Amino acid sequence: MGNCTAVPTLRRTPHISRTQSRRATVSSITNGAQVSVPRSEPYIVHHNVPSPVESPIWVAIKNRRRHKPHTNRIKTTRYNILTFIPKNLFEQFRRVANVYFAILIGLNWIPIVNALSKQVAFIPLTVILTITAIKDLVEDLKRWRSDAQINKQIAQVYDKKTKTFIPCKWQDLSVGNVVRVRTDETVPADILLLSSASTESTCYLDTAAIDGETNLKQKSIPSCFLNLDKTAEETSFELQCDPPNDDIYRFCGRLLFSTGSNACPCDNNNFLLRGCVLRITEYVDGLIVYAGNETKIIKSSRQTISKHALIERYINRDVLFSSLILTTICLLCAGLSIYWERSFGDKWTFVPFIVDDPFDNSVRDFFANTLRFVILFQVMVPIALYVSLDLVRVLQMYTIARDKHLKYEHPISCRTFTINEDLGQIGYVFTDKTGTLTQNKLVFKMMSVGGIYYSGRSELPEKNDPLIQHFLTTLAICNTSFIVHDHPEFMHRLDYQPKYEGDNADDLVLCQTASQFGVRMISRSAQTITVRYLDSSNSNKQDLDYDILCLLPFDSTRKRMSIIVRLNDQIFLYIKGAESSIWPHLSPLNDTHTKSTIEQHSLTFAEQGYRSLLVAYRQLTLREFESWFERYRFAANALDNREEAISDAATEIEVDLMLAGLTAVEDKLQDGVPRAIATLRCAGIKLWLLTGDKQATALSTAQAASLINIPQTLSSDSHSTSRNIAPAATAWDFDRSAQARLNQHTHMIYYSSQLIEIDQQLRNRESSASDDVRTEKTISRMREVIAAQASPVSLVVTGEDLSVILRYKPKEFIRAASECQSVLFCRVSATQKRELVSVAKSVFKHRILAIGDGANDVGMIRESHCGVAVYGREGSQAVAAGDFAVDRFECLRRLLLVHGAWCFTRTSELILYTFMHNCAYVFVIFFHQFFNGFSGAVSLHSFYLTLYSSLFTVLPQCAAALFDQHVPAERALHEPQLYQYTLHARCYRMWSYWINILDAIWQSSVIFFFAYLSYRNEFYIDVSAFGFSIAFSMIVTSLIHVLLQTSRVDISIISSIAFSFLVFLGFTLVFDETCVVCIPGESPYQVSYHTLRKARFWFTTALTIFTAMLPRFTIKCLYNTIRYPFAVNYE
Amino acid sequence: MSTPAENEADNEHQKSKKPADTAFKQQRLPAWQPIITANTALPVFLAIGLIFIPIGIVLVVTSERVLEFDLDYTDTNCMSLNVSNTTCADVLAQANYTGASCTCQKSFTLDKDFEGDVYFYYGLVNYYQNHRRYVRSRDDNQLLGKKDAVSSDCQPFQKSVNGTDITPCGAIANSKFNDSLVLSMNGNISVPLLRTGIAWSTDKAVKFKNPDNPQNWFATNPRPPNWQQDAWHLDTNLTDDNNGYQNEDFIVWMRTAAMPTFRKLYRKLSLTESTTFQNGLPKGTYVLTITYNYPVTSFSGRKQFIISTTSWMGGKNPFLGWAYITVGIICMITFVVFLVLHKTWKTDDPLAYQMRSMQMNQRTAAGYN
Repeated sequence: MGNCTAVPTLRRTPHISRTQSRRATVSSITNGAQVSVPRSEPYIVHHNVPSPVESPIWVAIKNRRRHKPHTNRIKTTRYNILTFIPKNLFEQFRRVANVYFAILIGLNWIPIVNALSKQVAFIPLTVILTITAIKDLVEDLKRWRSDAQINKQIAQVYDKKTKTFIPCKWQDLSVGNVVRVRTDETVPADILLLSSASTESTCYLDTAAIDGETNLKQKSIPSCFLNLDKTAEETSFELQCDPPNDDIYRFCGRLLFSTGSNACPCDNNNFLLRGCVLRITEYVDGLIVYAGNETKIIKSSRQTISKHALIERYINRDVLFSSLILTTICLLCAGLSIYWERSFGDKWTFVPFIVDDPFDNSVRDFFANTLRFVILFQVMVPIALYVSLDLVRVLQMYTIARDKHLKYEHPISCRTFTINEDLGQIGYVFTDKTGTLTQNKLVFKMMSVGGIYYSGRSELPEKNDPLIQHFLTTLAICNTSFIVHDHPEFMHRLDYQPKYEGDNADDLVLCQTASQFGVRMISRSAQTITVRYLDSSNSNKQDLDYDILCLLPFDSTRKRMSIIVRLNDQIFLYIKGAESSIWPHLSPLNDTHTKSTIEQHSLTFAEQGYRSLLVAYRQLTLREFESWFERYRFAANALDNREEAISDAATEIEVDLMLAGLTAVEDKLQDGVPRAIATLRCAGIKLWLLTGDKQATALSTAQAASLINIPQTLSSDSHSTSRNIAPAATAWDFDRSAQARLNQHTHMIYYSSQLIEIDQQLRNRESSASDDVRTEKTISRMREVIAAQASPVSLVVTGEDLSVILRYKPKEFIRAASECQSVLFCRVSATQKRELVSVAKSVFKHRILAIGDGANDVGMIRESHCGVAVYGREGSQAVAAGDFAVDRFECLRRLLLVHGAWCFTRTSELILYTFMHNCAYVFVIFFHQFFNGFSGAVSLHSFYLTLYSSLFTVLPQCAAALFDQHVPAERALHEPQLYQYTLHARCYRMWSYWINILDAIWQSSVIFFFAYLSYRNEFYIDVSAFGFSIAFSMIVTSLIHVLLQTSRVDISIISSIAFSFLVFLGFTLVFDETCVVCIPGESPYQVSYHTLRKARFWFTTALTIFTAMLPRFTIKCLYNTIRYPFAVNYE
Repeated sequence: MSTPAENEADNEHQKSKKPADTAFKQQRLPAWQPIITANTALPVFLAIGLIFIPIGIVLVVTSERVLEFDLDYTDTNCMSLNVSNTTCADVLAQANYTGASCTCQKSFTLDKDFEGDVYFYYGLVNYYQNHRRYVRSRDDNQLLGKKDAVSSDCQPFQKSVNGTDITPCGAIANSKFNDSLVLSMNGNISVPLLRTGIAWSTDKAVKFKNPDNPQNWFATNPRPPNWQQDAWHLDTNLTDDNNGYQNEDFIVWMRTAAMPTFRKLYRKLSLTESTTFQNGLPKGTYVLTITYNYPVTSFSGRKQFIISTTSWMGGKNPFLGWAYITVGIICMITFVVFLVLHKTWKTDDPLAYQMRSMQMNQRTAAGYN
């Protein structure tokens, strides 16, 4: 949505209203801050006025506990020297995994429970905690350093006594101070502009640090400061405004002068944010409103979004299964242990290996046994998986961010590290149109004035047509653009062309167009606009000064903007906006023929995919204006719901409009969009297009973007020769089935026409029907129509219908619409977009990705499972809200089909591997219990037990999780239907878990029983040697298993396996050589040296490893032969 | 708004450097992407079959060549010499397992010459030397000769009644196997046996050390309750450095077994002492004189006396050979099944896809995006 003049606010979101309800008052005097915080009062900053009611001391005492003085010091660090260890530990122990580990370690210290060596059991948790703590410490040090650097910058602050500006560190500034900012200096806090060195009382700002936009922004001094007799520094006033909040696009305040009676409004246009850089203007002075940690930029940077991938639900499910298995085997072993010990009866005293009385306290024993087995079998529930998952995801993200194919101007930026796998499971893409599918690089195409097309200046009639003059004047002045004079000395020249700057692309292109047509805005201040009219031969000029009486900015409900100006004695209202928003307000005096011609033209423009704006004007009488202006002023001073009040006031004056004409601006599709959309469609992803544009524009864009494929007929092609026809799918290197899919024609269903038919049916039967019933009937009918269609179906819904649907039957509608291959929503607002995603989220089984570039997509992006922002020309709000930010829509193709699918398969492999590998370990120990009286003894020594799943085997898993590719990138793009493999989670189903558990049981049986049977008669295989040989087979099997699980073998996996093996071997050899009595009761001294020398060990281990792998290898062969997932087509 | 300035900027951006284009970071490491199907796996199964079956045969033959003689002397094979018609086991049981001793003799015949190194084992069945409580009940520091207070792991054999530390402490030491087995040929030629060299040399050299002045130390400190004499008198020949903690029978016992059925090396045949036994144990009739001290009937355990030769694969155990043969045969069967499958099942050849993607790889490397 590009035709917004101002950024629509999010005032209806609960989040803002919450901050508003938390009122606070801050009163302070220059150079001596005092603070008071009575509730339910607006935030107040006093300038040169003493705080009216309460004495400063009283206030200070009353509120000392609640609020510190608002200095400009920022503190983003989380710890200090004293609090680091306790606070960091506290934060780390908020993770379930760490608590789980800690509890088990604690239990291990209870003597009767003790299962592992007490000291060794500490190692894994200590390592995890230390690594995390070091990472946190380094991050915090970085923050501390940057804080210190920022806090020590020097600003110029106004000293009341000497009446000069003196230097002062940023951290010593406080609310109520007046600061001076010079050219190219950074604004130290959120300030209200008081005065400016520029003659126009404005200043230019570079806001790149805040929103990444590179164009300059113009801010101006509140109008009440313009005609003051003394300097603003000396004036006394009180500023009432919102309490500190995080909305960087909104500021609302009211100035109350101690002398005057009038309140004067001030808004975002007078407000400079911390971090902006002043340009061009020599200096400005401003009053600090919010300082330090209360500045908007710092408040807004603290929002964190917490999203969870779908795969985590699978993990939780499988963790539950694992917990059940764990509980079962623990209770079983504990029970059998009691039974076994009692089986010796009262002769137990003569049994040498029964040390404790088995009849002593069987309840306690059972309990202790259970706990001991829980400690022993703890890895059955792989809580550490959550740790390794975090690590792997960060690294995966790093590789995605590094992908050169995703970089155009910016590399892809990833903000959320928890949803990589979701990229492989996107079933629905909700996309914005303008700036997302299109370039948002606007080109003026045509205008239609009074029923005639004009596309160049030469086509204008010789004679001055007042209608054309009005039309062009509207284009020139009805905007919020401002002028940057590169060479002001040439302003008197005839061909002087100033540079227009502004944050709205439509405005700029129209302003530029007007200038080319001979109506040129050459200077602009807050009060006046000078427009130069050139005659058709460019030989004569006439400069007219328009006084700005009122500017009614764009908002998303009105969808139009207007300006009220006075030229000599005439007052005009110039308005431009969306066709539907102005059409109802046209005066009945308009010529109906012209109206219908323009309607026709508007349709033509839309069919060509042009964006059109309707231009109208109205002449006002002084009285009309004045009576309205009173009401407007009241609205403009409101503190609550000011935007709504202004919008309502504006609607009152924007009536009885005279139609001037229509503009057509083309917004070209971005490169690669048709191919990207075709790819996504072939991949089985359904695209929902949500646009603020009208239906015809949306349809033509959809056709051009190959979102829909409507057979073209010549009759509808009469006007245009340059129609975008979807390029042949053959050009895009898809395989045959994908091409066939693309060549199918789309069947269009219009919700509105269905609604009309239903209405007619209902009217036949009964008199009237409620919206509820109508919607329900329409949806059920729609479902029938969709079900009856063989070809792909596309549904078209308009915003009006959508609001009814969302009110009554949102879920039913979404369910029915989900059958469609694509859905186009036209004329939808930001709120509707968000609501739609929110409902869809509760209905769809698959994940939803929302992509957009504008502020109106922010709600949608935040709400979706996976928000992608496009770096656009509409500011960086979307980028700040998105989980990913990309340069072009095209990136989605590679992001989903390649990286998404890879991440999903990689992570699911990692998860299943972890489950299976830990389960194998548990079952080896479990089988052992049958041969040691269920006592909880393990032949593996504690180091193997604790390091088995971490140090010895973690690397190959991670290498696989980073480098495995189930299909090469090129194939994934060439055969988009392969995406369904991850979309439907074919590699991670419920049975995948059970198959892996079965495999684990097989592997552990082979490992244990082969060793048992082979070493049965060998006197030299004692408990340590047996443990070592089992550990050896377990670890080698686990390492080689990675090769069976991955789809490709590269150097990273080979080397990580080799490295892990060497680590294991090296550790064992060193440990067995040096450690005589390191761990009490488990001395492995020289065990491995003895064992490795035995031929039987090598033959047993080799057979064990082969046999353990055999079933999986065989089944994989069979599966690949009969049903190779990447060789068949999913249709 | 497409001004020339912007176009220039675009060009510059395209020229500007992209993320580091290394194979590692761009995930383009050279890789082998095997698609294992019945087709590609055929040689693997064939190879495993062809290698495993011969290995299995060699292992079975090796195992068969090992000679082993077992004698279970738990009950009826060991009738008390003093009390008629009573097994030694019963004698011990009647004495309520409190240190009673019993002697018996059992004669047996070896059908073949046991050539080369001959090992004598005692075997215990149903003896859970790997029980968690039992296996921990020792103090390795004490066995290193340190005289510090012993670890509480030794409970309930940590301290004697008067509070001094038991030497050696713990349940393992307390339950040391104390039958003595003496073998004689034809009832008169005693078979020369080696009492040393049966434990790991590293154990004897490093892990087990006597404290200073051992004789006095062991005499003054309490011995484990089940022991008849203190640790310094485990071997009657005091000159052999085979006493105290360094007694090899003791060291062997302290190296706990992995499974409840186990055998431990008891003696080795001395090939040098007598010409009769210089090639091993000749066939003939032997008499085993057993001093039966060790009760096992309370937990239905069995005791065995085992004579065995050895091979490069250790003792007699045909399991591994047969396992190799079985796995080999299974692989051969799978090979045949897959061969049939491959001939009958026509699918899209995954290799074709692989070739195509390799071609595309090359194209990408050549600059196609």
